[in-house]
Amino acid sequence: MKIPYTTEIREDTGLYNGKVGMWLFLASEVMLFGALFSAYVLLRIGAREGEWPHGLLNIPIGAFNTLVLITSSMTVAMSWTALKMGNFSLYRKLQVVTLACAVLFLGVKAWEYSEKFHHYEIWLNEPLTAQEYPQLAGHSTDLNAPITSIIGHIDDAGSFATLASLQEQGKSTVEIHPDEFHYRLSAREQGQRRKAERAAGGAAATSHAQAGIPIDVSNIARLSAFVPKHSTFFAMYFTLTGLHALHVLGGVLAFAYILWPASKMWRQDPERYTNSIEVTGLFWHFVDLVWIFAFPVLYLL
Amino acid sequence: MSEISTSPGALTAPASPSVATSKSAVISPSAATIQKIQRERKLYAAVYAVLLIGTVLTVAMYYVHFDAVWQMVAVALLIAATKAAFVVAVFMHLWHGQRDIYRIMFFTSIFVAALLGFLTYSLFSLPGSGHYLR
Amino acid sequence: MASHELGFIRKYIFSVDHKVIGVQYLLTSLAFLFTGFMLMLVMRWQLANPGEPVPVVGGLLESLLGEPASEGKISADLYNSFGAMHGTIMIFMGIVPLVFGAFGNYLVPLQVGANDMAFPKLNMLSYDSYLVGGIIMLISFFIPGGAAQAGWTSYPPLATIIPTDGQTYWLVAMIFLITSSLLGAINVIVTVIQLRAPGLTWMRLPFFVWSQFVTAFLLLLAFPPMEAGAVLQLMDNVAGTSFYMPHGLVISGQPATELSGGGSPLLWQHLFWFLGHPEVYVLILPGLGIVTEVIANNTRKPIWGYRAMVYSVLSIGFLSMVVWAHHMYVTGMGMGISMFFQTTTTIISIPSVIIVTCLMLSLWGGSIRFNVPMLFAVSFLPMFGIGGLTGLPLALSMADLALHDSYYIIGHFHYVVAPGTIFAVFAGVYYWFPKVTGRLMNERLGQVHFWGSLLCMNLIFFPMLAQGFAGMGRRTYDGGQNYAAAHPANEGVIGAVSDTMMQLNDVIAWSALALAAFQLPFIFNFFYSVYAGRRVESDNPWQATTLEWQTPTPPPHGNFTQDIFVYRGPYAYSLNHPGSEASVGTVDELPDFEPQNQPLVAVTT
Repeated sequence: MKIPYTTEIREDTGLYNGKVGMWLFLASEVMLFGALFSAYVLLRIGAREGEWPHGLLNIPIGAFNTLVLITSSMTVAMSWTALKMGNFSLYRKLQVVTLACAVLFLGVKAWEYSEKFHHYEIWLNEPLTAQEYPQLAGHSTDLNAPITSIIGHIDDAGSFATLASLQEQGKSTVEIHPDEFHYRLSAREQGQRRKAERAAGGAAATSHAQAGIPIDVSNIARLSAFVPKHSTFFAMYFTLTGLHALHVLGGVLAFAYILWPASKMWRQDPERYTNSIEVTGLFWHFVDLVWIFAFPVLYLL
Repeated sequence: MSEISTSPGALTAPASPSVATSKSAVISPSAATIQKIQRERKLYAAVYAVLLIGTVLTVAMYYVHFDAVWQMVAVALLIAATKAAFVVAVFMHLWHGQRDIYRIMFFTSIFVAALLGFLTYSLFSLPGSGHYLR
Repeated sequence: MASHELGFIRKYIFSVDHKVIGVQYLLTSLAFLFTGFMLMLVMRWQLANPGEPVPVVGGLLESLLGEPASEGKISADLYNSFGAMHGTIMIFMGIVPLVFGAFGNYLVPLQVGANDMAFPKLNMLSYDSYLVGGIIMLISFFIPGGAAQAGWTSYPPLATIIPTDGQTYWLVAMIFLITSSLLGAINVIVTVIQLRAPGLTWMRLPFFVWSQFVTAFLLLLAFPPMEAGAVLQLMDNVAGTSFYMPHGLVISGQPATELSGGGSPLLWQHLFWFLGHPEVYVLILPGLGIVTEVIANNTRKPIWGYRAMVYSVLSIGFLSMVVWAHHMYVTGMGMGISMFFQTTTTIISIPSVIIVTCLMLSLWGGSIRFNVPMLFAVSFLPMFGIGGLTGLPLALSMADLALHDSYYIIGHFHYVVAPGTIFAVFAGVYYWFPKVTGRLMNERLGQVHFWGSLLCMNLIFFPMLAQGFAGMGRRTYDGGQNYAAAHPANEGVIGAVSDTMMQLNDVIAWSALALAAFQLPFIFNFFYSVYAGRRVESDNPWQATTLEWQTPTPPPHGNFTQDIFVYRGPYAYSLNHPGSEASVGTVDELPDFEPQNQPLVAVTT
């Protein structure tokens, strides 16, 4: 039994089945990611003043990943034209580039994730001031203002540590090496401070290996690595990018399947093979599209 | 009984499906197709360039000072929307008029807009929220 | 071309034939419907006799579920899980797969003259995904702590802070069920757009196909936001995030210090009801489609206002996506937004009324054949009417404040779904049974089933409307006894539920039991008729016009034995009744209908 219009185009709609199906799937994906972005907007607008972290993600790396994904999108589009021209070897070369880009994207993403997992924030019961600890200068605009939370690296805590797990290790104090800047400072404030410090000729405070601050466990209200439960920001970041990464993975599997195990279809039914690349390409461009929005929304705003 | 059409008006619907392409091992494009595809390739390269520029602009925007947050949001989303429009129109072949797909995506975008709009609005109307954009 | 030498497993278990998948859907979802009904029986017993051990099945419940059902009594936790699972099973695993999976799968390709769905393998995957989701949902009854307890709406923070794993199972199962619906929806839409037979223009589609088409779009576009919501709630449950956890949450007197806070319970309600309301129309539209087919066939008349009905169903589809927040008037989201949703909600009643009116008018002047499918279809109209009209007060935000979360709501939506959709389903089962099996169901048993069900459904749901007006809240595990006038603590309290209202719980419980008894003839009839029902003499026992009757019975893999070409609209009935010009002199020779694919020349001979 043969189902009509799997390869050939139906005259009155101008489409073949796979294309309609994929666009419908994309419509549902638009709703899925649309809902997630809407949720992001609602949570962000509902956040209390100064609560929403920013500047915690690595912008150059994010921009690099954007370029990688855009490149892969272009090679997919080009590889379809190669098939249209009957040039299978060009198609194969382009698709290998696509797959390489996709894997690179996932690798960079994994590295980015792992960077976050051993970065910590400690919320304090008794606030500290930058007056007492000059390393905290980047945590507040005012030297005497109370600092209620510190972000930075914790000595031999590894990844995913919690207050409970640190206490199990028998620690009564936690030594944290504060970051240069706290997310409560806006990008503008950070810039001004950098400029002021440069003018003052002081480079010591901006050195990356900042001296640790010992914090007594009894003074810790909450301690969390940069994992989803850290804040709604990280929860949203990991959910959205994680779901996106799953889509990338799905695309990689689909393209790899078409490129290698299913390539004999090219000899039997080249039109259908070309269509399968067009349809999977639609999905791939959509994944690219989600990232085009996710990058500025999560990394920059 | 106007509902029941007895006129044979719809007899022009497509005939039973026939396989349009030959079962030959390779696609041998006609001269017209080759020309069309080559135009398409140039278009793809141009869109690629636009996307690269867009990405650079997005990052550059981060280092520009804006008076209010909403201005920055607007600019960032404008750049992203432009990039998205190019991807959808050219890479996803929406450029080549496909009426049914236009319809599907038109209604989808209405519903997404409704979702986004009402979620945002329902929170704005609660006291103490929305300072971020103000 | 299809190999007819497929083994049993390929033919019936992993089949890609839309008809086999439709039957799989039918049997599975009827089984789930039965399960949900049994849960409800136990709950009604508990409400009528709070704290007393359940007769007959009490021991079974205790041995199956353990401590929550100790001594055969229903604990509050168990009642909550039964309530949540009754709703979930009935809606997501019972009715949607029944009206969309079973009827849609079986009939849409046949009615559009296609030889199968556009993507047969995806179709199989859709059923498998549904089955996996259903099994996960059932397994959750037997894990420690039992199934989800936060109602079918799963409102956080409650859903997340209940310290058992039931909710996690619920969410995972829902993701499978949603995937299944998405695949099914894509398949139906592509089939209707791409695989319509030559000549079958949009306005020649049977109304059933239209209703399935709109339903598929609702599933396609409304489910993903809920899926996003479910993923976020899963993160809350598993990864400890705070998407729905507000600041300063205090759980049982303990501040939740491990949570970051900053989330919004309102967010879940938006995402859930963005699905939840279109879902209501997913439940009812295919029912309307089935009823339309049955009414057209048995009145032997064209449907009155076919075009108006098509445009109405399209408007319902569109409007139903922008009415969701009328479930959320009491969340305090603000007057402005309530006003918008109140307006759209009242507007959406207009196309619904148009459809019902058209169906009513279709009855006018017809020589109606009151066979069992027609009985169910005709009684659907007033039952759905009551369901719809009782919904109007709920559309108005002021009236909703009083009626929200009361038994009035329960009565209202059960009128829509139970004597509404389920009656339509019964009509459909009796009507298409001969096409699927080649045998008719027993008429007399069907009559018993119908009259018994009609009586009991009303005895169950009408008292609920009264109870709701009297102020009885839903989801109370003791049937409102704590708020009853007879309760010692409530002596002299104004607004306590009166004894009469409390006694209605008994009426409802006994009627529910009777309703169960009246389903036995149906179950017997169904299985008996598969093997021993009266054989149909022709492929078209009801003298119907639509394409599914133009196939061999039962239809083979690939459906049609001839090329299908469609010449006319779907309801060409009453063609030569006495008095019409066409009938002069030929009353006895010609049938009163013309199948859609009958060539035009046949008219003139």
